[in-house]
Amino acid sequence: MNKRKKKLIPYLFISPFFILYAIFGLYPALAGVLTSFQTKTGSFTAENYQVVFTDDRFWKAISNAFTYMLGSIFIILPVALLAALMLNSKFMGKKSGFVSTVFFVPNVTSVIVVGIVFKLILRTNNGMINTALQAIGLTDRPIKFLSDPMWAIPSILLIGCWRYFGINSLYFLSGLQAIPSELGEAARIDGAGRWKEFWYITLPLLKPIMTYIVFVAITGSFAMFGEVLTLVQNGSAVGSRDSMLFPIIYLYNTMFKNNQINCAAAMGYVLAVILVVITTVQRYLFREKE
Amino acid sequence: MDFTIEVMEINALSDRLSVINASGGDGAPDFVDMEQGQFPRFMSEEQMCFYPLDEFIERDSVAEKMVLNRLDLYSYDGHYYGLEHALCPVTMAYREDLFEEYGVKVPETWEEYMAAAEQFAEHGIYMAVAKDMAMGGDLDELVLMLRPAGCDIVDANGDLNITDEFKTLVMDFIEMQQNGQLYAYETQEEAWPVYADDKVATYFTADWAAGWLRDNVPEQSGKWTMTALPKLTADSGTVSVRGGTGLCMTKYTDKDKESLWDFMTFAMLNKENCITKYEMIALYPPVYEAMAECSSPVEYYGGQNLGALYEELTDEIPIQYQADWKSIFNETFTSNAYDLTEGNITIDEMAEILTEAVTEYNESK
Repeated sequence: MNKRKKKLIPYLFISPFFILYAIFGLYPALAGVLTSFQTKTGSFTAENYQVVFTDDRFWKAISNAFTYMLGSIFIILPVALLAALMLNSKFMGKKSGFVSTVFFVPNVTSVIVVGIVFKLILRTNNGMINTALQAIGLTDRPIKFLSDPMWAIPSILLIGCWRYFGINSLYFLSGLQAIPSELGEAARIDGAGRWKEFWYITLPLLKPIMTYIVFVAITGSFAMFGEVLTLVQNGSAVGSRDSMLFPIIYLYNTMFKNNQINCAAAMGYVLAVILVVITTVQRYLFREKE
Repeated sequence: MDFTIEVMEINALSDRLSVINASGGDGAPDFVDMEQGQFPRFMSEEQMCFYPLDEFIERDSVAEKMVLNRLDLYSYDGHYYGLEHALCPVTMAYREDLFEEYGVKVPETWEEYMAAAEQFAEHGIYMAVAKDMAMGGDLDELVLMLRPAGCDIVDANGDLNITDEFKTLVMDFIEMQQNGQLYAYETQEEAWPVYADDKVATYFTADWAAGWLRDNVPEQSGKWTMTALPKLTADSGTVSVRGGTGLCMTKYTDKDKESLWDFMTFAMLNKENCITKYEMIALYPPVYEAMAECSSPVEYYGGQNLGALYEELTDEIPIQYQADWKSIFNETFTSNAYDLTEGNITIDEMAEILTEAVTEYNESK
């Protein structure tokens, strides 16, 4: 085999990925850019972007996703971290493997099943939460979790909490297990308490895994789709006052239900830019400082 | 000849067709069974993926063989694109035993219906179940009352038509739900146990859903009777129409159109096949020739001959107009329904919001 052929072989081995990516990833992405700058008749226009930028409903969807994202970061992730700390404690011992598996089950449960189960929990008539709240006298009138706009995001957060805290706990657990125990021991010898050890040693050392988890939480918030669709059980799935309107649902409705393909493409790119900005800020905040 | 039949969920089917359209017809089937509610998605020049059937329909005098209003369901821009499977007449099933026990008159008008609801509420019985209006309700259920009165939200030109009857009906539904006269469900599954508890007096149903009672509350066999709908206005008809699925030929097919049309007439217009379809899945045919023979007594409805009732009401079947802005209308209504039920906006303000959303959509086309 000559030298040139030898050089080419590695490229041949990795080429299937790049060929598939070019066909199913790069080409649709580039075609999408073209579509977003076209009218329905195919002529060039930037009006689709103007429509998106001035569309209140699109920004409402972005605002909903942003609120959910904050909820994910400040509610779901701390709960997951607490669970991971518990699993990593000496108290759990050999049971931690079994408990981790149990925690992981919600993550592999179909989103449709999750939606159906949570409808039973959240519904107004005989829903589990309302029945409990009324039984202990916390409310006379059942709360309309599924239609009251004030409760829309908290309801979806509840589902997110249940569904994703298991997988996030496992990520955190893997991060915790990578922290050398000597560091904690040294801190304790120097007189650090549990809280100081957590704050000055554990948390900073979890930063690499946390960067990834927060990144996934951000993109997941903006990609919210299945949970809402099954929860609202309505063709349009937008919720009261668009309280359950998320960017991908709006994009889907624009593209498939209202046949505004060019606008939907523009919407996709605006969303992508917003995500790039948010994740860039996130990476900056999570950067390793000197 | 080999056939391949692919069964798909309604929305997924329409999404697939949209993608096929966008890719210039790649992978298009020869026929599509199109649910009528999805048809408006294809009512535009660039989205219309069906082949116009006008020449065949005219040549074979289909308009004389089939209820014309059901044929019109799949028309757009002066062309016919599909043949409907079923007449889809909507009538009212009622619990004869409950009406007798509480001395309530079976309603023939909307006023009587509301009065009966009030009477039943005193005994803890709901007049009917309906999706919670705070969640947007079920607009199809509301609209079916408007059709026999000639005040559907879509007019003959496909334009938005918000009438006083629509506004009154929406507010009546909200009021009846808030007064405990209509059971407001958020999820369909919670409705059937309420029926099973003998707490529901009426059920508006198309032919295709008449069997749902039998499937979900079999123990109430013989207690239900089917009758005409209460009239919304003095000039209203006594039957409405809801739903439907039409067999459409795609414009992308490379097969001989004559052969495909032969299949369509065999499947949709042939008398024996229509009768078989009725016997198998209770879809009452829109084909005149087959109607008389679709008349077996239905055990669940106390041996009542539902086919005969439908045949009697056939001439009153109202037209069901289509419009591509319906999805925007539903979305906007759903989004604002909570505020309407809470009294944060009035029905007139709701009408303005709906009109604005539909106008904006139409202008964006």
